[in-house]
Amino acid sequence: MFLQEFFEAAVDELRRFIEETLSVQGPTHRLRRQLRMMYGRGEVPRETFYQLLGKLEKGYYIEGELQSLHRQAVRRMEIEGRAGFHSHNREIARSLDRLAIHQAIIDETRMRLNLALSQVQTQRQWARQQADDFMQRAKAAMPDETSARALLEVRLQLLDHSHLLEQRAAALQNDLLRLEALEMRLGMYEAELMIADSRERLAREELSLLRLRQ
Amino acid sequence: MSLLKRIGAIFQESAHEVIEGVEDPKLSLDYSLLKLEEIRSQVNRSLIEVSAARKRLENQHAQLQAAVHKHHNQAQEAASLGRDDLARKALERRQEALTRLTALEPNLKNLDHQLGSLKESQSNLERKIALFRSKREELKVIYDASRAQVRLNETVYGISRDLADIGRVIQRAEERIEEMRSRSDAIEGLAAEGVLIDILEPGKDDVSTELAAIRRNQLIDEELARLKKPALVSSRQKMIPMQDQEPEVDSEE
Repeated sequence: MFLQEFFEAAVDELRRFIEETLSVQGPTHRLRRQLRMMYGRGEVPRETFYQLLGKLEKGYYIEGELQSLHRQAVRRMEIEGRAGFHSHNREIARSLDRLAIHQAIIDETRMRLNLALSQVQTQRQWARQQADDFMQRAKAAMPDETSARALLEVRLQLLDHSHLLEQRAAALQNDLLRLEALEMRLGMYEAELMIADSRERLAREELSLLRLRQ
Repeated sequence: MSLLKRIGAIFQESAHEVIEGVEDPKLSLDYSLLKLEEIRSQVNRSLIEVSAARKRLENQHAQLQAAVHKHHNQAQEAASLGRDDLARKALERRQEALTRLTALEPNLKNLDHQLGSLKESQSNLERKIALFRSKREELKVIYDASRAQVRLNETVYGISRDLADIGRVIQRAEERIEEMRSRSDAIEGLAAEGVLIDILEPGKDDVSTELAAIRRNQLIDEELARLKKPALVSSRQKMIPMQDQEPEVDSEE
């Protein structure tokens, strides 16, 4: 048991070393991972998460801030009298960490999609307004049929743009639903991992109790 | 996730960021729009210059017409005064002005034509710029949306793959639980058969367990019976004062 734990810890250290050595950004990758994990676990508020992520992208070293935030989160949990779920099974603990990271990535992706959706909708509205504007201009130019025709051609193209953007908005909304489904699956896996961990601990306790009685 | 997969993921992420940094169609679109706007400014400047040139020619035209008129009057006046030499001179000048006037007219027409085509170019450019601006904004938002969607697909793919891995972790935990349960059951079974000795209950086997259970049930039955007796007695004792009170209740009625 001890040997296995020692081996796993050594593999973890080796993995961390390789990640930092091979990564182009150096420790950025590790810090991003750590930040995401803390956010996924609920140790960092949303606003701070994006603020620190931005700093990290700009090349700032945020290790100190992360450590301070972690300490604050631990203290807060102690005051509130709630302990975070902690598994002694390294495999399960690592899986829960991965799920926390995934949760943060999902949040980032959702933010990007929402931003893109809002831009698409704004642009679509603008194209529609422009199309209406060109319609008015065509009406005003009406005695001159050539000019009116050219303006109507522009209007049609603007309407095409608007239609294309409408389709893109629908696709983005569909993607948001996909993300929601994925998030639900993530929550399910998290619950399953916690249940499996508790059951395993219970079974182990039962077994060791029985062994003790023999 | 295996170590190799992780290394692959790191490389993939780095490559992705490098590619993202290199290609930015927004910049080339902005540049194209800038070029179009420069052309429009040039057309506007040309329009102003041609208009000014036309105005100058118009002024010249008016001046020449005035000169023709003036020289015509001078010639008439000189002829009436019998000064043929002066009249000839005035007519010569009038002729000269007329020649210049005739030469000026095609230039004016040419400038009118140029102005017309410049105005047409200007309105064409206005339309093109409006369309291009719309297209540029559209491409920008579509580019951002596509990037977000690519990111989403990568996220969904990566997380789904990892979830499968986590599913295997859960499965392994389940297997371990099953194994421990089986061991517990086996130990309990062996202890019940008396093969293993339970230090809390030494000398226990299946027959003795059953006998113990029967004895325990009997003991519980006896205890229950004993508990029932005093309960009956106490309930009777409680009933006596109640019987005494009954007539009072009747009398009241």
